Amino acid sequence: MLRSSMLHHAARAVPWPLVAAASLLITGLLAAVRYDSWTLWPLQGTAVGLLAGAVGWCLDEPAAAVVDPAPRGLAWRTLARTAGIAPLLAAWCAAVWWARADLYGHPWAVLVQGFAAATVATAWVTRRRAAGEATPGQRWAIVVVPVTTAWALVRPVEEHLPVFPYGYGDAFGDWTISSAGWAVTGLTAALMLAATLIRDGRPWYRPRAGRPSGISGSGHRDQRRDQPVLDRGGG
Amino acid sequence: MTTTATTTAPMLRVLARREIRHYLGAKLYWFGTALLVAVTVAGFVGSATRGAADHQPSAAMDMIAPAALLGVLGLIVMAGLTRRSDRAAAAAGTVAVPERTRTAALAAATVVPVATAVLWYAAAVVTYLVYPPTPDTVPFPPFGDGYVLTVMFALGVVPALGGPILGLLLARWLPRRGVTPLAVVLVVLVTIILQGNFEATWRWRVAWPWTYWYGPFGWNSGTGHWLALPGSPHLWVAYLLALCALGVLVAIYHDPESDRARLRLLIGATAGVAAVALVLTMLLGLPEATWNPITGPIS
Repeated sequence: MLRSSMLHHAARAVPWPLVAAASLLITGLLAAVRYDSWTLWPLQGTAVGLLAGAVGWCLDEPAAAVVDPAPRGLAWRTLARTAGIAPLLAAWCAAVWWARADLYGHPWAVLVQGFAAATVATAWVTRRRAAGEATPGQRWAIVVVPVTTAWALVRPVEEHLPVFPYGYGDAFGDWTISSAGWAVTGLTAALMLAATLIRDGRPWYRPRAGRPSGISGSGHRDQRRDQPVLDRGGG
Repeated sequence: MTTTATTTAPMLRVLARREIRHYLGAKLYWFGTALLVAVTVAGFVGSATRGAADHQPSAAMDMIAPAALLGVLGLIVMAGLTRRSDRAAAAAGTVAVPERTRTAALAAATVVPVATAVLWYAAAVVTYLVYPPTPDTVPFPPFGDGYVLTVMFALGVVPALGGPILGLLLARWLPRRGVTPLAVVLVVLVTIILQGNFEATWRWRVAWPWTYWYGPFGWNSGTGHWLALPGSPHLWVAYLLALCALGVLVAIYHDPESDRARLRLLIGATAGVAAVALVLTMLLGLPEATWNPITGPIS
Protein backbone atom coordinates (compact mmCIF):
# COMPACT_ATOMS: atom_id res chain seq x y z
CA MET A 1 0.00 0.00 0.00
CA LEU A 2 1.24 3.45 -0.84
CA ARG A 3 1.27 5.79 2.13
CA SER A 4 0.10 9.38 1.84
CA SER A 5 3.70 10.61 2.10
CA MET A 6 4.57 8.39 -0.85
CA LEU A 7 1.68 9.77 -2.88
CA HIS A 8 2.80 13.28 -1.98
CA HIS A 9 6.31 12.39 -3.15
CA ALA A 10 4.99 10.80 -6.35
CA ALA A 11 2.77 13.79 -7.13
CA ARG A 12 5.87 15.95 -7.38
CA ALA A 13 8.43 13.46 -8.61
CA VAL A 14 6.69 11.56 -11.43
CA PRO A 15 6.63 13.20 -14.91
CA TRP A 16 2.84 13.07 -15.17
CA PRO A 17 2.52 14.73 -18.61
CA LEU A 18 4.81 12.04 -20.05
CA VAL A 19 2.87 9.31 -18.21
CA ALA A 20 -0.40 10.69 -19.60
CA ALA A 21 0.99 10.96 -23.14
CA ALA A 22 2.42 7.43 -23.02
CA SER A 23 -0.82 5.98 -21.58
CA LEU A 24 -2.84 7.60 -24.35
CA LEU A 25 -0.41 6.45 -27.03
CA ILE A 26 -0.35 2.88 -25.70
CA THR A 27 -4.15 2.81 -25.83
CA GLY A 28 -4.10 4.33 -29.32
CA LEU A 29 -1.54 1.81 -30.59
CA LEU A 30 -3.58 -1.15 -29.38
CA ALA A 31 -6.76 0.48 -30.69
CA ALA A 32 -5.08 0.53 -34.11
CA VAL A 33 -4.15 -3.15 -33.71
CA ARG A 34 -7.76 -3.87 -32.82
CA TYR A 35 -8.90 -2.02 -35.95
CA ASP A 36 -6.78 -4.17 -38.30
CA SER A 37 -4.45 -6.57 -36.55
CA TRP A 38 -3.16 -8.22 -39.75
CA THR A 39 -1.91 -4.94 -41.18
CA LEU A 40 -1.05 -2.93 -38.07
CA TRP A 41 0.41 -5.67 -35.87
CA PRO A 42 3.92 -4.11 -35.48
CA LEU A 43 2.26 -1.45 -33.36
CA GLN A 44 1.75 -4.10 -30.67
CA GLY A 45 5.53 -4.42 -30.25
CA THR A 46 5.86 -0.64 -30.39
CA ALA A 47 3.36 -0.39 -27.52
CA VAL A 48 5.42 -2.82 -25.42
CA GLY A 49 8.53 -0.70 -26.03
CA LEU A 50 6.71 2.51 -25.20
CA LEU A 51 5.40 1.00 -21.96
CA ALA A 52 8.95 -0.01 -20.96
CA GLY A 53 10.29 3.44 -21.87
CA ALA A 54 7.59 5.27 -19.93
CA VAL A 55 8.23 3.12 -16.84
CA GLY A 56 11.87 4.23 -17.06
CA TRP A 57 10.82 7.88 -17.11
CA CYS A 58 8.82 7.38 -13.90
CA LEU A 59 11.92 6.16 -12.03
CA ASP A 60 14.28 8.96 -13.02
CA GLU A 61 15.43 11.20 -10.19
CA PRO A 62 16.86 14.42 -11.62
CA ALA A 63 17.41 15.62 -8.04
CA ALA A 64 19.56 12.59 -7.22
CA ALA A 65 22.19 14.74 -5.54
CA VAL A 66 19.56 15.74 -2.99
CA VAL A 67 17.58 12.52 -2.53
CA ASP A 68 20.41 9.98 -2.59
CA PRO A 69 21.85 10.99 0.77
CA ALA A 70 18.39 11.45 2.33
CA PRO A 71 17.12 8.91 4.89
CA ARG A 72 14.41 7.69 2.52
CA GLY A 73 15.95 4.69 0.82
CA LEU A 74 15.84 3.68 -2.81
CA ALA A 75 13.14 1.10 -2.04
CA TRP A 76 10.89 3.76 -0.48
CA ARG A 77 11.36 6.10 -3.40
CA THR A 78 10.90 3.34 -5.99
CA LEU A 79 7.70 2.23 -4.25
CA ALA A 80 6.47 5.83 -4.20
CA ARG A 81 7.16 6.18 -7.91
CA THR A 82 5.06 3.10 -8.70
CA ALA A 83 2.18 5.58 -8.46
CA GLY A 84 3.30 6.69 -11.92
CA ILE A 85 3.79 3.15 -13.21
CA ALA A 86 0.31 2.07 -12.08
CA PRO A 87 -1.62 4.18 -14.63
CA LEU A 88 0.67 2.92 -17.39
CA LEU A 89 -0.01 -0.70 -16.45
CA ALA A 90 -3.71 0.08 -16.06
CA ALA A 91 -3.72 1.56 -19.57
CA TRP A 92 -1.89 -1.51 -20.84
CA CYS A 93 -4.35 -3.94 -19.19
CA ALA A 94 -7.38 -1.96 -20.40
CA ALA A 95 -6.05 -1.70 -23.95
CA VAL A 96 -5.17 -5.42 -24.13
CA TRP A 97 -8.58 -6.33 -22.73
CA TRP A 98 -10.28 -4.06 -25.27
CA ALA A 99 -8.29 -5.53 -28.18
CA ARG A 100 -8.39 -9.12 -26.87
CA ALA A 101 -10.54 -10.45 -29.70
CA ASP A 102 -7.94 -9.36 -32.27
CA LEU A 103 -4.83 -10.72 -30.56
CA TYR A 104 -4.98 -14.09 -32.34
CA GLY A 105 -6.27 -15.85 -29.24
CA HIS A 106 -3.26 -14.81 -27.12
CA PRO A 107 -4.31 -11.80 -25.04
CA TRP A 108 -2.57 -13.26 -21.98
CA ALA A 109 0.70 -13.58 -23.87
CA VAL A 110 0.48 -9.93 -24.93
CA LEU A 111 -0.37 -8.95 -21.34
CA VAL A 112 2.69 -10.83 -20.08
CA GLN A 113 4.91 -9.03 -22.62
CA GLY A 114 3.88 -5.68 -21.17
CA PHE A 115 4.35 -6.70 -17.54
CA ALA A 116 7.70 -8.34 -18.25
CA ALA A 117 8.91 -5.27 -20.17
CA ALA A 118 7.80 -3.01 -17.30
CA THR A 119 9.64 -5.22 -14.78
CA VAL A 120 12.82 -5.21 -16.87
CA ALA A 121 12.59 -1.42 -17.12
CA THR A 122 12.12 -1.07 -13.36
CA ALA A 123 15.01 -3.43 -12.61
CA TRP A 124 17.48 -1.82 -15.00
CA VAL A 125 16.67 1.79 -14.16
CA THR A 126 16.67 1.10 -10.40
CA ARG A 127 20.02 -0.65 -10.73
CA ARG A 128 21.47 2.36 -12.51
CA ARG A 129 19.92 4.66 -9.91
CA ALA A 130 21.58 2.62 -7.16
CA ALA A 131 24.87 3.11 -9.00
CA GLY A 132 24.43 6.88 -8.75
CA GLU A 133 23.10 7.75 -12.21
CA ALA A 134 20.39 10.41 -11.89
CA THR A 135 18.29 9.92 -15.02
CA PRO A 136 18.96 6.46 -16.45
CA GLY A 137 15.31 6.19 -17.51
CA GLN A 138 15.84 8.85 -20.13
CA ARG A 139 18.74 6.88 -21.61
CA TRP A 140 16.73 3.66 -21.32
CA ALA A 141 13.69 5.08 -23.14
CA ILE A 142 15.81 6.58 -25.91
CA VAL A 143 17.20 3.12 -26.66
CA VAL A 144 14.36 0.74 -25.82
CA VAL A 145 11.53 2.50 -27.68
CA PRO A 146 13.22 2.68 -31.11
CA VAL A 147 14.88 -0.73 -30.75
CA THR A 148 11.62 -2.52 -29.91
CA THR A 149 9.88 -0.54 -32.65
CA ALA A 150 12.51 -1.51 -35.22
CA TRP A 151 12.41 -5.12 -34.01
CA ALA A 152 8.61 -5.22 -34.26
CA LEU A 153 8.75 -3.83 -37.79
CA VAL A 154 11.53 -6.05 -39.12
CA ARG A 155 10.90 -9.18 -36.95
CA PRO A 156 14.33 -10.69 -37.64
CA VAL A 157 14.82 -14.44 -37.05
CA GLU A 158 11.24 -14.72 -35.84
CA GLU A 159 11.22 -18.50 -36.28
CA HIS A 160 14.04 -18.86 -33.75
CA LEU A 161 13.57 -15.78 -31.57
CA PRO A 162 9.83 -14.98 -31.42
CA VAL A 163 9.95 -11.72 -29.46
CA PHE A 164 6.67 -10.45 -30.89
CA PRO A 165 4.86 -13.42 -32.47
CA TYR A 166 2.37 -12.66 -35.19
CA GLY A 167 -0.83 -14.26 -36.37
CA TYR A 168 -1.42 -17.85 -35.44
CA GLY A 169 2.25 -18.79 -35.05
CA ASP A 170 3.98 -21.14 -37.52
CA ALA A 171 6.53 -19.15 -39.53
CA PHE A 172 5.65 -15.95 -37.66
CA GLY A 173 6.91 -17.15 -34.28
CA ASP A 174 5.71 -19.58 -31.64
CA TRP A 175 3.48 -17.97 -29.00
CA THR A 176 4.27 -20.51 -26.27
CA ILE A 177 8.04 -20.14 -26.62
CA SER A 178 7.64 -16.37 -26.74
CA SER A 179 5.52 -16.27 -23.57
CA ALA A 180 7.95 -18.54 -21.76
CA GLY A 181 10.83 -16.27 -22.78
CA TRP A 182 9.04 -13.13 -21.63
CA ALA A 183 8.01 -14.75 -18.33
CA VAL A 184 11.56 -15.93 -17.56
CA THR A 185 12.95 -12.50 -18.49
CA GLY A 186 10.39 -10.76 -16.27
CA LEU A 187 11.06 -13.05 -13.31
CA THR A 188 14.83 -12.65 -13.67
CA ALA A 189 14.38 -8.88 -13.76
CA ALA A 190 12.19 -9.04 -10.63
CA LEU A 191 14.93 -10.95 -8.80
CA MET A 192 17.52 -8.41 -9.93
CA LEU A 193 15.27 -5.60 -8.72
CA ALA A 194 14.89 -7.23 -5.32
CA ALA A 195 18.66 -7.71 -5.08
CA THR A 196 19.29 -4.06 -5.94
CA LEU A 197 16.83 -2.81 -3.34
CA ILE A 198 18.15 -5.15 -0.64
CA ARG A 199 21.72 -4.11 -1.40
CA ASP A 200 20.74 -0.46 -0.91
CA GLY A 201 20.31 -1.35 2.77
CA ARG A 202 17.88 1.40 3.70
CA PRO A 203 14.32 0.35 4.64
CA TRP A 204 11.33 0.72 2.33
CA TYR A 205 9.46 2.58 5.03
CA ARG A 206 10.25 6.11 6.21
CA PRO A 207 12.55 6.09 9.23
CA ARG A 208 10.98 7.68 12.29
CA ALA A 209 12.51 10.72 13.92
CA GLY A 210 15.26 9.84 16.36
CA ARG A 211 15.70 6.36 14.92
CA PRO A 212 19.01 5.69 13.25
CA SER A 213 18.55 5.64 9.50
CA GLY A 214 20.56 3.80 6.92
CA ILE A 215 22.76 6.71 6.14
CA SER A 216 22.97 8.94 9.15
CA GLY A 217 22.74 6.24 11.78
CA SER A 218 24.36 3.15 10.39
CA GLY A 219 27.00 4.83 8.30
CA HIS A 220 25.58 3.34 5.09
CA ARG A 221 28.21 3.06 2.44
CA ASP A 222 27.99 2.55 -1.27
CA GLN A 223 28.83 -1.14 -1.70
CA ARG A 224 30.02 -0.68 -5.27
CA ARG A 225 32.47 2.10 -4.71
CA ASP A 226 33.02 1.72 -0.99
CA GLN A 227 32.46 5.45 -0.60
CA PRO A 228 29.91 7.30 1.50
CA VAL A 229 26.61 7.72 -0.35
CA LEU A 230 26.89 11.46 0.16
CA ASP A 231 29.78 11.47 -2.27
CA ARG A 232 27.86 9.97 -5.14
CA GLY A 233 26.60 13.11 -6.78
CA GLY A 234 23.71 13.51 -9.13
CA GLY A 235 25.15 12.43 -12.43
CA MET B 1 32.25 39.21 -40.88
CA THR B 2 35.04 38.45 -43.33
CA THR B 3 36.98 36.66 -40.61
CA THR B 4 33.90 34.57 -39.75
CA ALA B 5 33.39 33.71 -43.40
CA THR B 6 36.97 32.60 -43.83
CA THR B 7 37.11 30.56 -40.63
CA THR B 8 33.68 28.89 -40.94
CA ALA B 9 34.47 26.58 -43.87
CA PRO B 10 37.60 24.96 -42.35
CA MET B 11 35.84 24.80 -39.00
CA LEU B 12 32.86 23.08 -40.64
CA ARG B 13 35.16 20.49 -42.19
CA VAL B 14 36.82 19.80 -38.84
CA LEU B 15 33.48 19.57 -37.03
CA ALA B 16 31.94 17.42 -39.77
CA ARG B 17 34.79 14.93 -39.50
CA ARG B 18 34.34 14.87 -35.73
CA GLU B 19 30.57 14.30 -35.98
CA ILE B 20 31.13 11.54 -38.53
CA ARG B 21 33.47 9.86 -36.06
CA HIS B 22 30.84 10.28 -33.33
CA TYR B 23 28.17 8.75 -35.56
CA LEU B 24 30.49 5.83 -36.29
CA GLY B 25 31.00 5.44 -32.53
CA ALA B 26 27.28 5.19 -31.76
CA LYS B 27 26.36 1.72 -30.48
CA LEU B 28 22.81 2.07 -31.78
CA TYR B 29 24.16 2.62 -35.30
CA TRP B 30 26.21 -0.57 -35.08
CA PHE B 31 23.29 -2.49 -33.58
CA GLY B 32 21.10 -1.47 -36.52
CA THR B 33 23.83 -2.16 -39.05
CA ALA B 34 24.57 -5.62 -37.63
CA LEU B 35 20.87 -6.50 -37.71
CA LEU B 36 20.58 -5.11 -41.24
CA VAL B 37 23.48 -7.28 -42.43
CA ALA B 38 21.86 -10.35 -40.82
CA VAL B 39 18.47 -9.61 -42.40
CA THR B 40 20.03 -8.91 -45.83
CA VAL B 41 22.04 -12.13 -45.79
CA ALA B 42 18.96 -14.07 -44.65
CA GLY B 43 16.97 -12.47 -47.49
CA PHE B 44 19.59 -13.50 -50.04
CA VAL B 45 19.73 -17.06 -48.70
CA GLY B 46 15.91 -17.20 -48.63
CA SER B 47 15.73 -16.12 -52.26
CA ALA B 48 18.45 -18.61 -53.24
CA THR B 49 16.77 -21.56 -51.57
CA ARG B 50 13.18 -20.89 -52.58
CA GLY B 51 11.30 -23.69 -54.26
CA ALA B 52 9.86 -23.60 -57.76
CA ALA B 53 6.33 -23.21 -56.40
CA ASP B 54 7.22 -20.40 -53.99
CA HIS B 55 5.90 -16.90 -54.52
CA GLN B 56 8.62 -14.48 -53.62
CA PRO B 57 9.28 -10.83 -54.44
CA SER B 58 13.06 -11.30 -53.97
CA ALA B 59 14.45 -8.06 -52.43
CA ALA B 60 11.60 -5.91 -53.77
CA MET B 61 9.87 -5.81 -50.36
CA ASP B 62 12.91 -5.69 -48.04
CA MET B 63 12.98 -1.90 -47.63
CA ILE B 64 11.47 -1.95 -44.15
CA ALA B 65 14.79 -3.25 -42.76
CA PRO B 66 17.04 -0.28 -43.73
CA ALA B 67 14.20 2.16 -43.06
CA ALA B 68 13.76 0.89 -39.49
CA LEU B 69 17.35 -0.01 -38.66
CA LEU B 70 19.07 3.01 -40.22
CA GLY B 71 16.23 5.56 -40.42
CA VAL B 72 14.34 5.08 -37.14
CA LEU B 73 17.48 4.30 -35.14
CA GLY B 74 19.30 7.09 -36.98
CA LEU B 75 16.72 9.55 -35.65
CA ILE B 76 17.77 8.60 -32.12
CA VAL B 77 21.50 8.59 -32.90
CA MET B 78 21.36 12.06 -34.43
CA ALA B 79 19.25 13.48 -31.59
CA GLY B 80 21.88 12.14 -29.19
CA LEU B 81 24.74 13.63 -31.21
CA THR B 82 22.99 17.00 -31.26
CA ARG B 83 22.58 17.00 -27.49
CA ARG B 84 26.23 16.01 -27.14
CA SER B 85 27.28 18.86 -29.43
CA ASP B 86 25.17 21.32 -27.41
CA ARG B 87 26.64 20.09 -24.13
CA ALA B 88 30.17 20.50 -25.48
CA ALA B 89 29.36 24.01 -26.71
CA ALA B 90 27.80 24.93 -23.34
CA ALA B 91 30.82 23.56 -21.47
CA ALA B 92 33.14 25.58 -23.67
CA GLY B 93 31.32 28.77 -22.73
CA THR B 94 31.59 31.59 -25.24
CA VAL B 95 32.64 29.74 -28.34
CA ALA B 96 33.74 30.80 -31.75
CA VAL B 97 31.69 28.07 -33.45
CA PRO B 98 28.13 29.24 -34.07
CA GLU B 99 25.19 26.87 -33.72
CA ARG B 100 24.52 26.88 -37.47
CA THR B 101 28.01 25.53 -38.15
CA ARG B 102 27.51 22.76 -35.60
CA THR B 103 24.12 21.97 -37.15
CA ALA B 104 25.64 21.77 -40.63
CA ALA B 105 28.40 19.50 -39.29
CA LEU B 106 25.79 17.23 -37.72
CA ALA B 107 23.89 17.15 -41.01
CA ALA B 108 27.13 16.12 -42.74
CA ALA B 109 27.37 13.12 -40.41
CA THR B 110 24.35 11.60 -42.22
CA VAL B 111 26.91 10.42 -44.76
CA VAL B 112 27.46 7.44 -42.43
CA PRO B 113 23.93 5.95 -42.49
CA VAL B 114 23.46 6.94 -46.13
CA ALA B 115 26.66 5.13 -47.15
CA THR B 116 25.49 2.08 -45.19
CA ALA B 117 22.11 2.25 -46.91
CA VAL B 118 23.78 2.49 -50.33
CA LEU B 119 25.71 -0.69 -49.52
CA TRP B 120 22.43 -2.35 -48.54
CA TYR B 121 20.90 -1.12 -51.80
CA ALA B 122 23.75 -2.64 -53.80
CA ALA B 123 23.25 -5.98 -52.02
CA ALA B 124 19.48 -5.77 -52.55
CA VAL B 125 19.92 -5.04 -56.27
CA VAL B 126 22.27 -8.05 -56.58
CA THR B 127 19.68 -10.26 -54.87
CA TYR B 128 16.97 -8.83 -57.11
CA LEU B 129 18.95 -9.45 -60.30
CA VAL B 130 20.36 -12.87 -59.38
CA TYR B 131 17.08 -14.22 -58.02
CA PRO B 132 14.36 -12.18 -59.75
CA PRO B 133 10.89 -11.91 -58.24
CA THR B 134 8.30 -14.47 -59.30
CA PRO B 135 5.86 -13.20 -61.99
CA ASP B 136 2.90 -12.97 -59.59
CA THR B 137 4.69 -10.21 -57.62
CA VAL B 138 6.52 -7.28 -59.30
CA PRO B 139 7.24 -5.96 -61.88
CA PHE B 140 4.23 -6.31 -64.14
CA PRO B 141 2.94 -4.20 -67.04
CA PRO B 142 2.95 -1.27 -67.45
CA PHE B 143 6.08 -0.83 -65.33
CA GLY B 144 9.44 -2.63 -65.30
CA ASP B 145 12.50 -3.21 -63.16
CA GLY B 146 13.45 0.49 -63.14
CA TYR B 147 10.23 1.33 -61.30
CA VAL B 148 10.87 -1.35 -58.66
CA LEU B 149 14.51 -0.33 -58.18
CA THR B 150 13.47 3.33 -57.79
CA VAL B 151 10.96 2.38 -55.11
CA MET B 152 13.62 0.28 -53.37
CA PHE B 153 15.95 3.31 -53.39
CA ALA B 154 13.24 5.68 -52.13
CA LEU B 155 12.17 3.40 -49.28
CA GLY B 156 15.59 1.97 -48.40
CA VAL B 157 18.22 4.67 -48.92
CA VAL B 158 16.38 7.98 -48.49
CA PRO B 159 15.09 7.11 -44.95
CA ALA B 160 18.72 6.69 -43.85
CA LEU B 161 19.04 10.39 -44.65
CA GLY B 162 15.58 11.52 -43.56
CA GLY B 163 15.53 9.74 -40.18
CA PRO B 164 18.70 11.38 -38.82
CA ILE B 165 17.65 14.77 -40.21
CA LEU B 166 14.33 14.44 -38.37
CA GLY B 167 16.32 13.65 -35.22
CA LEU B 168 18.40 16.79 -35.78
CA LEU B 169 15.26 18.85 -36.30
CA LEU B 170 13.60 17.54 -33.13
CA ALA B 171 16.72 18.02 -31.03
CA ARG B 172 17.04 21.60 -32.25
CA TRP B 173 13.42 22.71 -31.90
CA LEU B 174 11.98 20.41 -29.21
CA PRO B 175 14.84 19.58 -26.86
CA ARG B 176 12.59 18.18 -24.16
CA ARG B 177 12.61 14.99 -22.18
CA GLY B 178 10.74 12.16 -23.90
CA VAL B 179 10.18 13.98 -27.19
CA THR B 180 12.45 11.76 -29.31
CA PRO B 181 11.01 8.35 -28.25
CA LEU B 182 7.45 9.69 -28.51
CA ALA B 183 8.27 11.08 -31.97
CA VAL B 184 9.50 7.64 -33.04
CA VAL B 185 6.23 6.07 -31.94
CA LEU B 186 4.14 8.73 -33.69
CA VAL B 187 6.17 8.45 -36.91
CA VAL B 188 5.76 4.67 -36.94
CA LEU B 189 2.05 4.92 -36.12
CA VAL B 190 1.33 7.30 -39.00
CA THR B 191 3.65 5.42 -41.37
CA ILE B 192 2.01 2.09 -40.77
CA ILE B 193 -1.46 3.56 -41.30
CA LEU B 194 -0.36 5.28 -44.53
CA GLN B 195 1.59 2.33 -45.94
CA GLY B 196 -1.10 1.85 -48.56
CA ASN B 197 -3.28 -0.85 -47.05
CA PHE B 198 -6.30 1.42 -46.85
CA GLU B 199 -7.82 2.36 -50.18
CA ALA B 200 -8.93 5.79 -48.98
CA THR B 201 -5.28 6.84 -48.63
CA TRP B 202 -4.01 5.61 -51.99
CA ARG B 203 -3.99 8.98 -53.79
CA TRP B 204 -2.60 11.28 -51.09
CA ARG B 205 -0.49 8.85 -49.00
CA VAL B 206 2.62 9.99 -50.94
CA ALA B 207 2.64 13.21 -48.93
CA TRP B 208 4.01 11.09 -46.05
CA PRO B 209 7.73 10.31 -46.49
CA TRP B 210 7.43 6.51 -46.24
CA THR B 211 4.77 4.45 -47.97
CA TYR B 212 4.64 1.32 -50.08
CA TRP B 213 4.13 1.62 -53.82
CA TYR B 214 3.23 -1.98 -54.48
CA GLY B 215 2.58 -5.12 -52.52
CA PRO B 216 0.25 -8.00 -51.84
CA PHE B 217 -2.62 -5.74 -50.85
CA GLY B 218 -5.56 -7.62 -49.51
CA TRP B 219 -3.27 -10.45 -48.45
CA ASN B 220 -4.97 -10.47 -45.08
CA SER B 221 -8.18 -11.40 -46.87
CA GLY B 222 -6.35 -14.37 -48.34
CA THR B 223 -6.07 -13.29 -51.96
CA GLY B 224 -2.40 -12.32 -51.98
CA HIS B 225 -2.98 -10.41 -55.20
CA TRP B 226 -0.26 -7.87 -56.01
CA LEU B 227 -1.15 -4.30 -56.77
CA ALA B 228 0.76 -1.15 -57.76
CA LEU B 229 -0.53 2.15 -56.42
CA PRO B 230 -0.98 5.38 -58.41
CA GLY B 231 1.72 8.03 -58.75
CA SER B 232 5.32 8.41 -59.85
CA PRO B 233 8.03 7.05 -57.52
CA HIS B 234 10.72 8.85 -59.55
CA LEU B 235 9.28 12.26 -58.71
CA TRP B 236 8.60 11.07 -55.19
CA VAL B 237 12.38 10.68 -54.68
CA ALA B 238 12.75 14.36 -55.67
CA TYR B 239 10.01 15.25 -53.15
CA LEU B 240 11.75 13.28 -50.38
CA LEU B 241 15.15 14.86 -51.08
CA ALA B 242 13.54 18.31 -51.03
CA LEU B 243 12.01 17.44 -47.63
CA CYS B 244 15.46 16.44 -46.33
CA ALA B 245 16.98 19.73 -47.55
CA LEU B 246 14.06 21.57 -45.94
CA GLY B 247 14.74 19.77 -42.65
CA VAL B 248 18.40 20.83 -42.62
CA LEU B 249 17.51 24.45 -43.43
CA VAL B 250 14.86 24.61 -40.70
CA ALA B 251 17.35 23.11 -38.22
CA ILE B 252 19.94 25.77 -39.17
CA TYR B 253 17.22 28.44 -38.88
CA HIS B 254 17.05 27.67 -35.15
CA ASP B 255 20.28 29.63 -34.64
CA PRO B 256 19.10 33.16 -33.80
CA GLU B 257 22.38 34.58 -35.07
CA SER B 258 22.05 33.01 -38.50
CA ASP B 259 21.14 35.02 -41.58
CA ARG B 260 17.45 34.35 -41.12
CA ALA B 261 16.26 36.56 -43.98
CA ARG B 262 18.30 34.55 -46.47
CA LEU B 263 17.32 31.30 -44.80
CA ARG B 264 13.62 32.18 -45.02
CA LEU B 265 14.08 32.69 -48.74
CA LEU B 266 15.83 29.34 -49.10
CA ILE B 267 13.24 27.56 -46.95
CA GLY B 268 10.43 29.05 -49.03
CA ALA B 269 12.10 28.03 -52.29
CA THR B 270 12.78 24.48 -51.04
CA ALA B 271 9.23 24.14 -49.75
CA GLY B 272 8.02 25.28 -53.18
CA VAL B 273 10.15 22.64 -54.92
CA ALA B 274 8.83 19.99 -52.51
CA ALA B 275 5.22 21.06 -53.15
CA VAL B 276 5.69 20.94 -56.94
CA ALA B 277 7.40 17.54 -56.73
CA LEU B 278 4.54 16.25 -54.57
CA VAL B 279 1.88 17.44 -56.98
CA LEU B 280 3.76 15.92 -59.91
CA THR B 281 4.17 12.67 -57.95
CA MET B 282 0.40 12.47 -57.64
CA LEU B 283 -0.36 13.52 -61.22
CA LEU B 284 2.26 11.57 -63.18
CA GLY B 285 3.22 7.90 -63.20
CA LEU B 286 0.50 5.28 -62.87
CA PRO B 287 -2.85 7.05 -63.25
CA GLU B 288 -4.64 4.55 -61.02
CA ALA B 289 -4.09 1.43 -58.95
CA THR B 290 -3.10 -1.45 -61.22
CA TRP B 291 -3.45 -5.14 -60.43
CA ASN B 292 -0.93 -7.75 -61.49
CA PRO B 293 -2.68 -9.82 -64.18
CA ILE B 294 -1.17 -12.95 -62.62
CA THR B 295 -2.70 -13.88 -59.30
CA GLY B 296 -1.22 -16.17 -56.72
CA PRO B 297 -1.48 -16.88 -53.01
CA ILE B 298 1.11 -15.33 -50.77
CA SER B 299 3.80 -17.68 -49.62
